[in-house]
Order: sequence, then C-alpha cells, then structure tokens
Amino acid sequence: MAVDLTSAGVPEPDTHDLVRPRARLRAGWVGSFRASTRGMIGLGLLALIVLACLVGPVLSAHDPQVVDPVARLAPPSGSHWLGTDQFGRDVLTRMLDGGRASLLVAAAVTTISVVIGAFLGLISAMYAKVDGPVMRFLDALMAFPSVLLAIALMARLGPSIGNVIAALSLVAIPGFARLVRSSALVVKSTPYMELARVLDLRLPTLMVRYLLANSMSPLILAATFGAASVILAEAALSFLGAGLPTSVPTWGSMLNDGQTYLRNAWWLAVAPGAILSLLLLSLNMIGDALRDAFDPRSERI
Amino acid sequence: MAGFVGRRLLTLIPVLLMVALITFGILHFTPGDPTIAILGIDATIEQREELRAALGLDRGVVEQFLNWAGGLLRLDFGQSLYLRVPVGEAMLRYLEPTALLAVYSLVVALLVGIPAGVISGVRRGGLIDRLVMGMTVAINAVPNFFLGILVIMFFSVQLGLLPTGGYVSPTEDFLGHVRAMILPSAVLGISLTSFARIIRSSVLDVMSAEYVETAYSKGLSRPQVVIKHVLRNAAIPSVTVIGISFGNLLGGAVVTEYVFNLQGIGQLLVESIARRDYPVIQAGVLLSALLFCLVTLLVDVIYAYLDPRVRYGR
Repeated sequence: MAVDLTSAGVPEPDTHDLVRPRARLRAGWVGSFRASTRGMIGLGLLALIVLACLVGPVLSAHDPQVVDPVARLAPPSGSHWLGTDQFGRDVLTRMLDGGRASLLVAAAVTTISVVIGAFLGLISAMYAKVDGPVMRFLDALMAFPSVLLAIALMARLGPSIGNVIAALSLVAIPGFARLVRSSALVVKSTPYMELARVLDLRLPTLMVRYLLANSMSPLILAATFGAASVILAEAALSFLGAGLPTSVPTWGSMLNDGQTYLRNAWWLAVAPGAILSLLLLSLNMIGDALRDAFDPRSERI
Repeated sequence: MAGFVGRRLLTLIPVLLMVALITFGILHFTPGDPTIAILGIDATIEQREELRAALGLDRGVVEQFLNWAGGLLRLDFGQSLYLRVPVGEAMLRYLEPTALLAVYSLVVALLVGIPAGVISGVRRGGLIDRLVMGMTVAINAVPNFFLGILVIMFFSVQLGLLPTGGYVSPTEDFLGHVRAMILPSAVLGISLTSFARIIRSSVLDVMSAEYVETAYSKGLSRPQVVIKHVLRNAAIPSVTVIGISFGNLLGGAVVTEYVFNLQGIGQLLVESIARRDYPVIQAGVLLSALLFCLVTLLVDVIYAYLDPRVRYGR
C-alpha cells in the first residue's frame, strides 16, 4: 500500500541530506590532498605554467611571429632568454604562446568529453535499451589506438583548432562514458537510490543529483589524467604536422623545427620539450595525489 | 578452454563490424565534401567527379559500405590515390621496419618492465623500488618523441656513436641494422614500461595474501615463495596491463618512426596525411584497430589459462 508521506503530515525529508555524507567525504579528500606534498607541488607547478603562458606573451618584449633575419638561431642571451629560431623569432615568447594553444585545447577537450561522456554513461546506466548499442559503439572506438584515430580524423577534417578539439574529444569520450556508467551502476543499486525512487523524485533530477554526485571523485581523477593525455596527443599531432595550422606556434611544431636544427641550435627542441614535460609532470603529480586522497587505502603502495 | 575461445571470438564480430563502420564513417559521415578534402578547394568539377567515381562516392551509402567491407574480406583495401598501387601492396612494402621496431621495443619493454615491477614490489621501499618509481614518473611525463630527440642529441650529435635516423634492412647490412634500431627500440620500449607500476602493486597485493604467509611458515625460502606463489598470481592482473600497452605501442610506433625517420607504415600514414591519400590512412587505422582487438583476445585467452575461474564464469 502506497502512503503519501506529505499528506499524512510527515514533514518532507530534506533531500539534501541524502547527499550530505558525500559532502563530508569531499571535505575529507580536499584536506588530504592539501596535506600531500606531491599534490601541492604539482598544483603549484601547474599554476606557474598556466600563469606564465597567459601573462608571458603580453609582458614579453618580442612578438611570437615577428621575423628577425639578423638574429637567426641565436643562442640564449640577455635579450632572448631561450634564444631564437630559424627565422630569428624569440623562442621563449613562442613557447609561452604555444602553451596557450595547448592549454586551450586541453581545457576544451576535457570539458567536452567529460560532459558528453558523463551524459552517455548516465543514460546507459539508466536505460537498458540504450546501454547495449552505446557501449558497443564506445568499445569499438576504444579499439583504435588514440593517436591513429585522431590522425585519421584530422586528415579528413583538415588542420584547425576546432577540428583538433573535435577529434581529440571523440577519442576521449569513451573512457569517461565507461567510467561514469560503471560508478552509476554501483550507485543505482544502493539503498539510498531505492529511497530516492520511493520519494518519487523526477528521473533527470535523480540522474544528475545522485548518480553524478557519486561518480564525482573517479571523474575528477580521470579528468586530471585525461587532460594530461590530451596535451600529449595534441603535441604529438602538431609534431607530426596533423594538428593545429602551422601558422600558430605549438609545442609540437616547435619540437619538429627543433629536430631539424638539432646540430646547431639545441635550445629550439629543449625549450618546448621541457615545458611540455613539466606540464605533464604537474598533472600526473596532481592525479597521483588525488588518487591517494580519494582512496586512502591505496596510499603508498 | 576451446569453448571459452569460441565464445570470445563470437563477441569479436559485432565489435569488428562497428570498427569497420567507424572507419568508413570517418570519410563519409563527417561534415564537408570528401572530394574537396582530398583534392583541395581549387580542384575542377571534372577532377572531383573523377575522384568521386574512383572512390565509389557516386553510389548509395549502403552500397558503398557493402562494397568496401566486401573488399576488406578479400583483403582488398582499395587503391592508393598517390602511390597508384593497391593499398595492401603499399603496406607490405613499408611493413618490415614497423614490424621489427614493434618486436624489438616489446622485448625491451618486457625485459625492463617486468623485472623492474617485480623487484620493486618484492623489495618495497628499497633503493631499486625508489629508482623504478622515479623512472615511471619520468616516463609518464616525458613524451616519447621528446625523449627520442634527446637521445639523438646525446648519442648521435654529441657522441657521434649512432646514426641520427634512417632505416637499414638486416638482410643488407646486419650491423647497420642493429645500429639504426638501438635508439628507436630503446625509446619506444622504455616509453611502454609504465606498466611496471601496476605489476609492482599487484606483487604487493599478493605478498600480503595469507597463502604467501603460509608458504613462508612452511619453511620455503624467499626466492621459492616469490617464484612459485607470488609471480604466478601477480601475473594475472599484469597480463591485462601489458596487453593494453600494446595499443600504446601501435600509436607510439607512428611517432617513433617519424622521429627516427624509419620508412615504416607509421611514416607512410603521416606522409599520406599531407598527400590526402585517404584509402591508405583508412586501411592503416582499420588494421591497427583489428590488431588491437586480436591482442585483447589473446590477453583474455592467457588470462583464462592463468585463472581457471575466468574460464567457467560468465
């Protein structure tokens, strides 16, 4: 027999209470992330790189595109801290400017693929009819080595920042979708989801508020490592000449130039390679610290 | 066991169909006219019509897909638009460097990664453990193409010990082949060894299991326990991770061939991007996905062999 709780005079339960234990847990992981030296160093390094890329090109006395035939392949000096390239352009300014492209692609792809991935994962977990086809499609997408799938898409779409974002998003979506689907399936079978269903909350509300709230920590973790692999993939595409248009400075295309002039200008390859490695290192450090913070049992294994 | 393999093979069919459909879709279901994408915006209408006919784009989509997929079953991947030879023939011509690079780097990865993972797991917190953990952090941070440039800079430009790039066939000049392949195989192999970390944590898991304590308490020595009990059990999750890194091997080979200028299939694919030689790219992507599916199948079979529970489970 169904009892209408509200009309029976029982005060409506504060639905927020259902989420609260999670909120407490979240405060817990923030605390233990802060306590992690590795995590804080990673975060500091990331902040430094992002700040340098945003502010650097503005403060620089040089323009990333301005050619100076007199100063071709000049070694690092007071006026060009990281030297100049084969056209006499300032390597430091180009490196920081290239970082903007890299960070923009990483931010856009991570956001797009998390949102679409989470949506696909949630509807697959909720509706059995969509589950099969969607998952088979994503399985097949995952069978392609990601660099190769991105190359094929870029060859078809042509070089532009929008196309790089589209291609890398398509590569990244399946991972997030599977992740959200599996944690959503776990959450779906818990007693408090049963309770939420009894309380007759509307389905979209259910999905977003409870399933997603509880998939949050693995999703944040995956997004951190995901951003790192997007940055790596973008650099690889640009390095192979299948990424952003060659008119835009990118770390990948700078590395490609650098390899050509390896004998007479080592700074050309070392500068973009080093900042790319530092950015990946910072994201990996943050990811490792987050993993420990979310799952204290895994600490120090 | 045979039943397990059979069932697993059946699950491969829908995935392969979907893989073929996606590969087909990259050319046909993406925005923009594919003939303009291939010929460029300046092409005349006649040129575009000719290409449309050559690619079969003038027929219905379903018919095109069936023709193309039917060709695949007969190992016919179409004509290369640039090389003017069948794609399969072009692939075979470029196969040797890629196949050898893959084998060598897999050997390097396994020879370095497995012992590193096992030793750091068994001697947790020791010098080797800290060294290996530091290495995996570095490997995850430094992209293999940058690592490649660094080793060329050091070993080839500075020391002049090894060639900066280029492929030498072992049948022509064996020593030259070895010299040409040392750096690329080492770079690609090392970049795959991040699985050492997973092996280490599965070794750690097994080391704290009760049956390992039992083995110690019945008087077995440490090497005996490690070899007989720990390794076999830790191998089960490790196989999966090593299988997954095979996917990275295929993607990594493309970039490594490019860095070291090895004329392999990866190099062919990269050159085909600029040439807009779409059938070649399509075949390359399709074959790599197919190879990956087969490796995953192999991993599952090994898994089932190592762990009988998988064989009888659903």
